[in-house]
Amino acid sequence: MRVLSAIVLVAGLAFLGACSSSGTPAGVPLTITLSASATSLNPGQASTITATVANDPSNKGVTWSFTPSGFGALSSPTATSVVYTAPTSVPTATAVTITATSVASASVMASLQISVQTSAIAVSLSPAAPQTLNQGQQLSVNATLTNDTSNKGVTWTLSPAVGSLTNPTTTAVTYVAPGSVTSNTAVTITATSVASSAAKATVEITVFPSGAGANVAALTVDPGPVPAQVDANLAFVSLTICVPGTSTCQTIDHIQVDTGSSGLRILQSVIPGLPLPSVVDQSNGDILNNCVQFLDTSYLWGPVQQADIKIGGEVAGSTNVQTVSSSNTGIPTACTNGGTINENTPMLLGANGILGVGLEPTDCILAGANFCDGSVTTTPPNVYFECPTSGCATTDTAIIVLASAQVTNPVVLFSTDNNGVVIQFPLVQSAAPTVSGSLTFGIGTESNNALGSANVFGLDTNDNFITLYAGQTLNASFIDSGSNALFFPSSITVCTDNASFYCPASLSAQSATNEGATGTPVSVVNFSVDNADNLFNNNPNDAAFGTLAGPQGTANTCSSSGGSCTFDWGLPFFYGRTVFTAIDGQAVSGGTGPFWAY
Amino acid sequence: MKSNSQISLMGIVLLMLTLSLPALAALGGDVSSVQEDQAQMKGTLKTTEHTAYTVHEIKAGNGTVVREYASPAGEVFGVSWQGPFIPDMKQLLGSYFDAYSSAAQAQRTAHRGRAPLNIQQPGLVVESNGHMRSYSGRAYDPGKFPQGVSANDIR
Repeated sequence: MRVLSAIVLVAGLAFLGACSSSGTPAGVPLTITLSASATSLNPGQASTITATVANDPSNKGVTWSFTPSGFGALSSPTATSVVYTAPTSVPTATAVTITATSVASASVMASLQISVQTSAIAVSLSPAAPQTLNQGQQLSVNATLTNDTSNKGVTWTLSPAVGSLTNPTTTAVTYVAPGSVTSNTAVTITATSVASSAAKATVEITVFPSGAGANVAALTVDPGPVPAQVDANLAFVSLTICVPGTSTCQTIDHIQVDTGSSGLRILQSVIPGLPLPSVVDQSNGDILNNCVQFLDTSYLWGPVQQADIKIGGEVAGSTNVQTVSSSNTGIPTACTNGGTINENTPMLLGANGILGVGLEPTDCILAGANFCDGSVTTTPPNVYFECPTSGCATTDTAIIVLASAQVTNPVVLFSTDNNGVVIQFPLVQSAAPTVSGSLTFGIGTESNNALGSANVFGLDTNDNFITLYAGQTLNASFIDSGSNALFFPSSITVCTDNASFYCPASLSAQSATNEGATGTPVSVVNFSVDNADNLFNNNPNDAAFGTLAGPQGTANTCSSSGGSCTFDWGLPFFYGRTVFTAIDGQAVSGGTGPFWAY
Repeated sequence: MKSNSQISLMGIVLLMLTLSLPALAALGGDVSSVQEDQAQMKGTLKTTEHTAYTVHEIKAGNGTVVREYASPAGEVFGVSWQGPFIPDMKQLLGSYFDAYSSAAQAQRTAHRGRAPLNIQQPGLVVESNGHMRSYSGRAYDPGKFPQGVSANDIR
């Protein structure tokens, strides 16, 4: 929209006689000069037109009119100004002429033209969510335009020029991936409206090398699903969630991939109307609800429901998932007593859901022990609650639930490639706007997920391994794609404004050693810690940070009897690595999960 | 043939528990509250005497170990936990809960991603970390440490 004042002068001149009753001085012409606050309007917008009348001794000003008649309206007329408002629906671009006529001398007039643009063209693409292809494969992309009254459609562009676009029409194109790529390669297809080059839409496609197969889904680290909210180091995937056994499905983007938890948790607000069946106690009609608390003691609450989950080319049928309730009422205090935030909106969660593809087959199992089925605990933990369909009460207490009704890691329900996951990302030296990687299902089940020469780190009965750092033996350490930085006890300066991060004066080189729970293998990890304030302030729109780190407890409080003995290897650890997460109890060539390997 | 939901029905075993909710106090509270906490957590209690303080260790019914650090005067100045489930923070932090809750929310909102909790205030320190089914953390009021006690003792 143009907001500059444009001055258009069409001077109507009249030399009036000396005896004119208007009293205009003989020989001095009355002139009208018009200006407008905007001479180009979008539908529904307004422009104020101002008349400057010279030699109008009685100051009678002007009257206003416009053509074409009925196309928009004039309002608030005064002797020297009027407001023109364009119609809200504009099928074709139209030039409107506003005319001011002198009251003192009807033969003197001036006019000004305002061009009204057609309703804004919008372009959307199908598919819209990020896609994955193997080398040599093809993908059809279709564009839908609104308000493209001239039916000119779109033109297609590909960036970078890896692969090609074939058979382009004004609404469709076919992308052909190159016959061979050496590593995961991301391309972006852009559809640009011919009639309005400002209207465009994009879809991102990641092309995998030979053998990538159907067991691969694209991962993206980007600012997240909420406009103007830039989250740091969250790895997202798209997946399709369906009513079991039907084609009633919805594809959801920006699901955070978390190797630190197990099970899919999806916000009810992003699948409104998708009729997923709840897990029901048929003796009384009550439904099963699930509570999960995170390391920051925020929590998610909602019913356990069943869905077919499609991700990459894999399908997990009739999977127990947690549908995170949009309501904050009727949540048992046993769930809320962590005391922080119920993260039931994309803004609070920073994602549309969490895909837990961690070490365990359900959300209540640890190293073979099921804490929720009554086999190892005398008290049911605050994880499962049974409530009438009308909702829970704050006083409700937890119940015992067998593994078959617990929220399940979808990977174990795949028909193949079900013993773990592999996450790959390119190296992020400092900060990057986005970064593309891959989530590959199965370990040693296909040519693309072999352990190869990776070190395999066995875990203790708490699913932890050992990290040696700065003289400390951190024996409750873990790898977690759901933590957004490296967190460990250190003497590095903590940021004053955000105690979650480190703020060293300058880039600080660090080293730690990872060991399996039994002391082998041994792997030295060199990493750098940068000043988090500077990283964020200097890269306000970036989502990927390779040198982000923060405190975990206080240095030198770790001992064999407890304390802060944790090095949390969050997402920056995955940058530049291939990290394997093998699931508890699953056979992997050369061993059994749970383990990490890289 | 059984439908999925019938199978699910079999999957749920109801075990109704009648929990009495005692008046709770832990951090900052009197050591007598330890017994109440033990009852609340359906746990077993082990007490260890140190020179400057006493540690009451409760192993809760859900597998999480909670330690309460009490001064010779009988005041709880620190707590810690370790295990598969985060303890009931309202119960454990007592009168410190509101300060904890607002600080935790502020930190989560400011953080732009998920991270361990690290609250360092003059009268309240809370550190919480871990991953699903393996959590640890501690909370203490440095102003209430008995002589000869430091933060390193709370583990």
